[in-house]
Amino acid sequence: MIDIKVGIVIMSGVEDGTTIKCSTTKGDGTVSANSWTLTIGRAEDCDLRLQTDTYISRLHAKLHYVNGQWWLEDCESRNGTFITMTNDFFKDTRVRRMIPLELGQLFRIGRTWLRLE
Amino acid sequence: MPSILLKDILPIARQESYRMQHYFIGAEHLFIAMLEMKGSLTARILEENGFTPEYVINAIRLKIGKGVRQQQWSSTPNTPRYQKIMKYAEKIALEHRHAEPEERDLLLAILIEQDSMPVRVLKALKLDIETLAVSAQNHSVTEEIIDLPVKIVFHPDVTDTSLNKSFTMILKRMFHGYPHIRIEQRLSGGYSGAQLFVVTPYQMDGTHHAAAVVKIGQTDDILDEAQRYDSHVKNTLPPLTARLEDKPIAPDNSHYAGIKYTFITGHDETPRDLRAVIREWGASAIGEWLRNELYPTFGKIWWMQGRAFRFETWREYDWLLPPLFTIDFVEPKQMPVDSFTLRFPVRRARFLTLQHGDYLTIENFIVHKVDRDQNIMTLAIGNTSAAEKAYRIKVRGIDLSKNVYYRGEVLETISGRIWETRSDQLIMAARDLRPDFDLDEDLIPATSDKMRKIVNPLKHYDTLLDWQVNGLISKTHGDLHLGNIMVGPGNSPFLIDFAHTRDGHTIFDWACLEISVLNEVVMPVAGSDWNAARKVIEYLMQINAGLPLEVNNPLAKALQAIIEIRQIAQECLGQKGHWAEYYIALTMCALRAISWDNLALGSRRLMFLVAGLSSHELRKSSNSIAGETPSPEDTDVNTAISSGSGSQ
Repeated sequence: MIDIKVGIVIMSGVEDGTTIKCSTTKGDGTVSANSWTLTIGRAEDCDLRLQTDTYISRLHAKLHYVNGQWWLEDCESRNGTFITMTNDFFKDTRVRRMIPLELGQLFRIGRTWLRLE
Repeated sequence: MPSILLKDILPIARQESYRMQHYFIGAEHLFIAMLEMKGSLTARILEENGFTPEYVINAIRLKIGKGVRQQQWSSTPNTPRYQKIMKYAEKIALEHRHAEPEERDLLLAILIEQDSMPVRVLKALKLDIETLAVSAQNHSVTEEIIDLPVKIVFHPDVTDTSLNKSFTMILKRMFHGYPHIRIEQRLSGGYSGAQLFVVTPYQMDGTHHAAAVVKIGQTDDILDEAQRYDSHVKNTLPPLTARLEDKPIAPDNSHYAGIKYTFITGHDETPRDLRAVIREWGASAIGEWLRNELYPTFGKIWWMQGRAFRFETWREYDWLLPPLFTIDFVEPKQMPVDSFTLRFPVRRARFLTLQHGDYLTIENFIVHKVDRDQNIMTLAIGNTSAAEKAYRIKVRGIDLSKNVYYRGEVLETISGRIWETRSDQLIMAARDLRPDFDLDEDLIPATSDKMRKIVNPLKHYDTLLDWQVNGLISKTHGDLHLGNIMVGPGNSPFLIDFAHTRDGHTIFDWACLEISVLNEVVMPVAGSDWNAARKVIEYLMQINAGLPLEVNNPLAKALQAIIEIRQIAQECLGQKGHWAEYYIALTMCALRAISWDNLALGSRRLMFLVAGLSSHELRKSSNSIAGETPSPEDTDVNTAISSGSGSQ
C-alpha cells in the first residue's frame, strides 16, 4: 500500500482540538496488501489511545482504509460507537458492525467525538 | 449595556462545566456562558436569527452530553481548542484596542475557528456562520429593544380582543415596519395549547399586504416546529400552500415564540379556517369539500403514498394517553431496596398493580421536556417519533436550578414515589364527566333507553396498546382538526400548523379529524347531556354498520361530514374493508380528548362514549374469531376484524 496519511481530530472532552496524525510510512496501524487498519481504545497498544473517557473500552473501535474509502468498525464495545448522519445532526446512529465513514463526518467512541481529516 | 469582559464569562463557563460533569473548560462552556448572560451580544444575535439562548444551549448540551460523576483532574484544565480560541480572541482584542478580550472578541474567535462543537451545532440549526460573524462585528451592544410602533387592531367580528404582553411583543416584532396590523380571526390550536391568529398587515397609505397565520406557543415547541418544517415539510407541500418563510420570533425574555405562515395563493383574499366556514356551508358540503378538495390536493404527496406498516398500537398511540406515571423525585439513597424498576422495553403488565405511594426507579429514559418554572420534567423512551414519545413519565420536585437536565439527555437512572398513575388520571377525567352509570362496570349504556351496552373504554384501552396493527405509513399532518384546515381563494385547501407532521400511521389524521367534527359540528346540534351523546352514538353505530342515516334529521345531517371522512379513511386502510386500525386510532384520539379543558362537557361525554364504541367494535370483531383474550397472532387487527365498516 502506498503512503497514506490521516489525522484523527478529537472534537470533545478534555483533549478537544488535538489532532493525532497517523501514516502508513510511520508504521502506524496494520498495513496489508489493500487495507490499512487503525485501532482506537484505552489499551496501551491502540493507535489512538483515549484514556480520559471511562466510557471507552480497551479495544473500542477500528478504522479501516480500503480502496480509497474509510470504514468505521465497532469492536463489540460496552458503550457503543456512534455516527452522525448528514440528514440529522442531533440523532446519533449506533454502529452495529461496520459503516462507511467520510472525512469530516463526526463519530463518537464512548462519550468522545472524533472526526477524520 | 456595558461590554462583558472575559473575566466575567470564565466563572460562568466553569459553572457550566461542573454542571455537565466535565471538569475542564472548552469552547462549549465559553459559548454557553455567553448565552447564559442576560442581554449578551451572543444571545441577542441568536435571538435575531430566531433562536432563544435556551434552545441553543439545549442543542449543544444534547450533542456533547454529560461527563462522569468522578472528577479526574485536581485542577480545571483548558482544552487545546480553548487555548487556540483564546489566542484568536487576544489578537482580535488587540485589533479592537481592547485591554483584554471582551465578549465580542471571544464570540468572533469561536466563529472564526469554525471547527468547535458549538459552531457545528449552529450550522446544524441552519445558521450561517459568516453572517453571524458579520453581525458580531457590527452589532451595537448598547442597542435596546424599544416598544415597536405597530398598532394592533381587531376585526369587529373578533369577540376576544385580549392579548397578553408576550403575544403583543411577538406580533409587533413580527410585523415591525408596518404601522398597524389587524387580527382578522383567532383560531384555537389543537392539544398543544398554542394560539393562532389570521393577521393582515397594513401600510402607511392604507393598503394592505396578504394575510398570514401567526402561531404563538411555547418557545421550544415553536422552534422545534420551524426546524421540523425545514427538514420534513418544506419539500412535501403542494405549490399553492401556507409556508414558513421567515425565521421564528423568539424573545429572550419570554416563554413564548411565534412563527408566521404565509399563504402562497396568487390572490388577495384572506383564507378562512374550516370552523368559520361550517355555518355557511353546512356539514354535508364541508364533508364533500374534504373529500374532493383537501384529500386529493395533499393526498398525492402525503396520504396516498402509504406503504405497508405493521406496528404494536403503543408505538403510534401511547403518547396520546396521560403519562404512565407521575412521580415525586426521591434521592437514590433514600429509595427502598425493593422498589420497582422501569426500563425499556416496558412490560406494562408488571406495573398495573402499582399505585400512589409506591417507589419506582426509571432507567435509561430520555428527557422529553423540562419545565423550570414548575420544576417538572417529562421523560419518555425517546424524544422525536411517536414511538419515542411513548410511556411518558412526569417527575416532580427536582431542583432544576441546581441540576442540569436537557431535552434529549439519556438518564441512566432516576427514582421517585408514585403520585398518580395513568389509570388514576383517566378515572378522574371520567369522573369529571359526572357519569350516570357505574365507572367500575365492564359495560356502559350506549343508547338513551340504556338497553344496548358498549365496552367501558377504561377497562379496555390498556389491552389495545399491545395489539398488532397492519396499516399504512405515510406523511401525516399529525394534528388535523378543523382549525388547521383553511379555505383559500376559489375554495382551495390549505393546511397550517405542521408541528407534528411526520411519517406515521396514515389513518391517524382522519381519526383526529373525525374527533374534531364530532366535537365542533355534531355535538352542538345534539345537546350536552349523556342522552344527547348517546343519540350521536346510535347514529355512529349505524355508520359503523354501513347503514344509511335519516335524511331530514338535523343531527343526521351534521353527521354527513363523518360519512365523508369515513369515505376518505376507507382509502387509507391497509386492507380494504378492515376497519379495526381506524377504531384503534379513534379509541385513542377520543380517550385523549376526555380530559381536554377547552372542550364542552357534552363533547367530552361524547368522546368517552366514542372511545367505548370503538373499543366495542374491536372487541366484538376479535370475539367473533378468537375469543376475549386474543393470542398474539389473533390480535392482528386484520385477522381479528370480521364485519362492519364505516363506508357507505
